[in-house]
Amino acid sequence: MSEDDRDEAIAARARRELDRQLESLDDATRVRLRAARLRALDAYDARPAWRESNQVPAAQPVRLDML
Amino acid sequence: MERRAELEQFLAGVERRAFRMAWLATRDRDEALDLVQDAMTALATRYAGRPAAEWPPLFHRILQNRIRDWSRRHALRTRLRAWLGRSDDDGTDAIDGLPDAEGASPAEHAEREGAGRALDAALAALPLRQRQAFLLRAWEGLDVAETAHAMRCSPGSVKTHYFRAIRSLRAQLGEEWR
Repeated sequence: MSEDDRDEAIAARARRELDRQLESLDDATRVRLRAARLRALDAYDARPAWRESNQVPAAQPVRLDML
Repeated sequence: MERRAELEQFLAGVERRAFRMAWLATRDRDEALDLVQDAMTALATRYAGRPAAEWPPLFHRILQNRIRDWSRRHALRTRLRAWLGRSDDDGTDAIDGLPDAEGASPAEHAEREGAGRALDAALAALPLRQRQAFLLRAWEGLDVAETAHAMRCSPGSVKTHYFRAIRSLRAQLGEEWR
């Protein structure tokens, strides 16, 4: 087995182990992750409309009486 | 609406791995959840208008930045506590005591438990940048260019970090996993 093959073997085993650990994530953490996702989507819904177009809004002229 | 659904699907697909990456860095469930929440919100509010194909490296760039910032703050707090002669680390492990979803036998369970702990310890022993490179390349499946974008470094640095991570994991896990 070459060095590269040994490297790939350890990476593949680590990947499988990490995937297995994900499957055993506890319910409380899953629920909190879902809540975090929903909060992010709420923030997406509430974002300023100009972000959708990727256009930065034009700067407003500054009036001297505002300074 | 379609974009929102696409975003939700992306976040749902990445959230558990993101949590695990954050947990490996923080070893604290609440801190890890906060980091994932921050990264999700930043992606949703700032970059959701970008093509969906750009989301994975963007999301991981945000998350890895958050993790790095957290690590710096934590290192500073640890030094301060050491200087003040205090410690509040109770060694809580969020992954301890989790049920085995596959209903393995006690012997299998013990073997898997051992493999999981060995991997956790080996990953925890890696420097942050090596751990990031390994997890993003080997687990998240990002290519070298995407990983470089997420880690804000050159592709050459990614290759170096990844190579060192692999060799370190081999050295640490070689006996355990043979």
